[in-house]
Amino acid sequence: MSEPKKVGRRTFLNYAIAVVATGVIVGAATYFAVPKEVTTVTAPGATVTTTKTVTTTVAGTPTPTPPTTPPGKPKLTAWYRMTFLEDFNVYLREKTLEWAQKRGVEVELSQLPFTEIYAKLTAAIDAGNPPDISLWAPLALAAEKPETRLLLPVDDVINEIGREDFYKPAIKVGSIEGKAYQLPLWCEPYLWHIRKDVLEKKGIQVKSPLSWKEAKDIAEKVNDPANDFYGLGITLGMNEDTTNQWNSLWWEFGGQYFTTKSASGVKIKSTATREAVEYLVDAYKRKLIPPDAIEWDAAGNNKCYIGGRGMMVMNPASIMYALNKENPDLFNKTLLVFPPVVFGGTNGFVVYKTCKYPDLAKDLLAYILKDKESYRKRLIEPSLGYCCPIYKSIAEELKKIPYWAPFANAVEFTHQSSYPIDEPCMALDEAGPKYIIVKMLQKILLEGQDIDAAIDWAHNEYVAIFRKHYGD
Amino acid sequence: MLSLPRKQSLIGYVLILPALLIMSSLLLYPFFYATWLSFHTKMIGAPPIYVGIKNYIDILASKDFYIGFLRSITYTFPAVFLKLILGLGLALILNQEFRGRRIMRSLAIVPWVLPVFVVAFIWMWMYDYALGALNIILRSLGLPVNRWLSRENVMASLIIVNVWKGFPFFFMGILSGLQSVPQDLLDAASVDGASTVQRFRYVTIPYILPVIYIVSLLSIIWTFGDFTTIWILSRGGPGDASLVLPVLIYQTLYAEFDAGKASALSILTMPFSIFFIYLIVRLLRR
Repeated sequence: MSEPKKVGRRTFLNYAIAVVATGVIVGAATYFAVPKEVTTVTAPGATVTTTKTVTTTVAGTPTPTPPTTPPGKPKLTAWYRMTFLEDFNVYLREKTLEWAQKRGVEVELSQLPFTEIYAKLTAAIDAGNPPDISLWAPLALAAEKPETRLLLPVDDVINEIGREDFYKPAIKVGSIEGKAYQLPLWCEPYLWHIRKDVLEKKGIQVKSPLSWKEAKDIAEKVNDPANDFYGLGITLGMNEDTTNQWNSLWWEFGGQYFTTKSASGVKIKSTATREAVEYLVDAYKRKLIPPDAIEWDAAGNNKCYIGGRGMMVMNPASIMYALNKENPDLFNKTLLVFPPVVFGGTNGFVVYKTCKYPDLAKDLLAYILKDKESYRKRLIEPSLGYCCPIYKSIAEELKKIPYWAPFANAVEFTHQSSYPIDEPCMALDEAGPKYIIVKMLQKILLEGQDIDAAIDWAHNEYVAIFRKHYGD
Repeated sequence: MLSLPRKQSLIGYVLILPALLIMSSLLLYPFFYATWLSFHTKMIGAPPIYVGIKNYIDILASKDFYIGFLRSITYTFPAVFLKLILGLGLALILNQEFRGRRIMRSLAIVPWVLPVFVVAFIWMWMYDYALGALNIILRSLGLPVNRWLSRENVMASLIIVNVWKGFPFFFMGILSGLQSVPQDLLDAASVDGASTVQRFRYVTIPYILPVIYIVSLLSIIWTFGDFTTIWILSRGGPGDASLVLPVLIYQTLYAEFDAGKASALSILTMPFSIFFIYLIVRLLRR
């Protein structure tokens, strides 16, 4: 009897390789044969954090859908940016699900922290598979170029709610070529947070707006580094707040990133830039700014103020929210004042072109934003200034409250990075996360590089980015 | 006609083929796609444009790549060495018989089971200049406080976090290795007059050496690819003091929105990992 034959490892490997190779070839052929508009990207190192997903399936008669709507039960996918304000997140969730129940629509809602929604939306946009609605979006990436535009205009929703009640700048920051692609929800201005008790002790009067030059004068009078108390709690670390604070300072000196969207329109190399850099370098060297500010994260200036190390910091009013909860004494001792040119972000909803039920999506947004009473009571007021209203009527009401009076209408004079045009700009969206401004400052402060050389470097970086997006 | 064993073995192989195919696709497709993408400029949301080896030329001509590689090496090898020393030491201690040994063993693996971003946030607070636990302790002892994340200290501080999070992996691996050392061999060595050091050197070490190799190589690959800790704590800064390759790749993708260049960067870092994977495979074959 012959020895029973076995399949050897080598034979099996040959078979396996043949099958895998066939699979790969067939897969690759299919991939290249089928025309695609978009492709998938594997995101290296994408962080995974808590995701709240709520899905509701509601029985009932669905809202009559427009003729273009596909048959079957309507379903919307929504991704909302979470804030640190728990009430805020809860309100938006409740309101969305309330609408879903009333309309008999299934809504799959994910509420995601900013870092996650940023990575997730970027990947989803590239894959051509975005949600139907999102609260926050990389606007320039999704809408600036007509050939790759993924968003639907929302002017009809704005008109339905009442355009006249919206502050114009709130709409403008999300508009391209005269069409609104973002339905604004709140504005997040950067304000001076100043220790009232120290001002009183030193007999110093402060009026709004407080210029950076005046702030430095005050800082000099109160500075006490020997006791770990600093006049300016300004961050210089590798984080977005450094660039945001820089914007306010630089704009006060007359700076701006560009005059036209082209490589030749970049205006980093300017007298204003040199003056703003000199201001910071001088303040840092004279220890008006804490020495460790150069390694702070985005919460560094918050911690500096809350920890009693800083006389004044510039930040959205998230600091006030934290103080109100944890240190009411310091909350009462804090004065909120504007700089002459205010930086801030305006966040809002967008609807994607890929949405199968655009009318329903817009109806949901109108439903959330039409309820102005709840908007004021549940989104705006509890935020203590972190979220400023985009409605004139709400701002007028809030102005009656002394705390809110100075900044209830902040959206009117708050600017985006693309100041003074205040429109989405792809090149600035790219430059921001690359921390070019921060690196320019750190080259001078850490590496001792010449100021002009560092400015030249930053200018060239911006020119290269603008050239990539808009040409010469 | 095939004989039964051959049939049986073929059926077995056929049954595992779907899994093999799926696994291969999951591994091969992203790899081939990333390789393909690396020869293109691929801005997020836009179609890819073929650029040949331009991405590779740009990267190799850029100072950032070499800085990133150097920082990655500076981060990886000291961290792995320290994890090995700590893990080995702890494994030797907790391999002894004493009261509370089980609790100690459980506690020792706590850093390992914590999610990496939780660990990063814990240490972010520990390192805070004004409010951080480390400086509070130093202050209470009357010692000068430290700027843990300054340009000079950031790499050491990041290595400490990585070591804290990663040493239990070495501890667990080496402990299991220690438990496979035959007691009679150790006893025999004692009878022959071997000292504690000699028993460790000539009996214990040869038994646990394969484990040490494997855990070290795995740790080198993981540490080299560590992103979360560094991103949360320093974002590659101050300056470029902690700009390791994973941070550079992330910035290329999510700041420049250039998936092609990010892919090329990833491909360029692969030989390093492949070399260590090759070593692992060789060791496993022994």
